[in-house]
Amino acid sequence: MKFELIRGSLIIRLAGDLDHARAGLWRKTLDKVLSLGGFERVFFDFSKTTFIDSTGVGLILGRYKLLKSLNKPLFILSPPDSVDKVLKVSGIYTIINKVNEVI
Amino acid sequence: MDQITLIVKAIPENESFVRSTIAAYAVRKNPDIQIINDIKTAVSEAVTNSIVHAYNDDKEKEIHINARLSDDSLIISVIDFGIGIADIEKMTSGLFTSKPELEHSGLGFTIMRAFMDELEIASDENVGTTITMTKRLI
Ligand SMILES: Nc1ncnc2c1ncn2[C@@H]1O[C@H](COP(=O)(O)OP(=O)(O)OP(=O)(O)O)[C@@H](O)[C@H]1O
Ligand SMILES: [Mg+2]
Repeated sequence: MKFELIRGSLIIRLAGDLDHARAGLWRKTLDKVLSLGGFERVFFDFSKTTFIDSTGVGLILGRYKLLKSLNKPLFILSPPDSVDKVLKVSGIYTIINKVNEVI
Repeated sequence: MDQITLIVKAIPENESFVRSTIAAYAVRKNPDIQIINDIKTAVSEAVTNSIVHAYNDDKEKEIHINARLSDDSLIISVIDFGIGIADIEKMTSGLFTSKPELEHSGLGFTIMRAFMDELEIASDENVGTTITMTKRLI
C-alpha cells in the first residue's frame, strides 16, 4: 500500500485485489495509517485496484464511519469500470463522493 | 453439455483461484471483458459466503464448484455442506447480515443478483447450500 500526504490530503493507493482473502491485512494497515492523523481529508485511490468484493466494500464503509466520527471527509478516487460497477450496485456513492482528481 | 468441476478447501486463498479459473473457462466463448468481470465478482461472493457463513472459517471443509457452458450461457453452481440458510427470503434479499461485527454488510446477494442473469438458491439447515447462477455470454 502506498500513501502520500499533499496539503492536508491523505491519498492512499489500494493496489491489487480488495477481497475477503486480503481484507484483514488491508484493515490493519489502513487503520494504522489513519491513526497517524495529520490530514484534513482522505482519498482512497482505486486507480490500481484490480478487484473488489462485498468484503472490500464493507472495509471502505467501516473506514468511512471512522473518518466521519473524526469529521474528516473521504473520497473515492479514479475507480476502474469493474470496481466502479461494484461500488455503484453497493450504493456507496450515496454516502461517499467519487472524484477523478485530488481536490 | 461441456462442464468442469472444482473441489476446493474452504480457505480464503481459494477465492481468487476459483474466480480466475471459472473466468478462464468462460473465455472459451469469447465474451466481453465486462461479462468476465461480472462472473468473477459473483462467483467470488458465493465462494466467500460458503467460507464465512456456511463453514464459519473451518478450513477443512470443502466447496464444490461446477460450471457448464451451453451455446450462449455459463451456468455455475457453488455448493457447500454447511449450516444452510435458515430463512432464504429474509437473508438473501439484501442488506441482511449475520456477521455485522466483522464489517459484513449484506451486499453479497445484491451483487450476485445484479451481476448475473439468473440466481437460484437451494438450502437446507445443517445440510448445505447450492447457489446456481446463469450468465449470458453473447
Ligand atoms: N452459503 C451460506 N450458508 C449459510 N448462510 C449463508 C450462506 N450464504 C449467505 N448466508 C447468509 O446470508 C446472509 C447474507 O449474505 P450476503 O452475502 O448477502 O451478506 P454477508 O455475507 O453477510 O455480507 P457481505 O457479503 O456484504 O460481506 C449472510 O449474512 C448469512 O447469514
Ligand atoms: Mg457475503
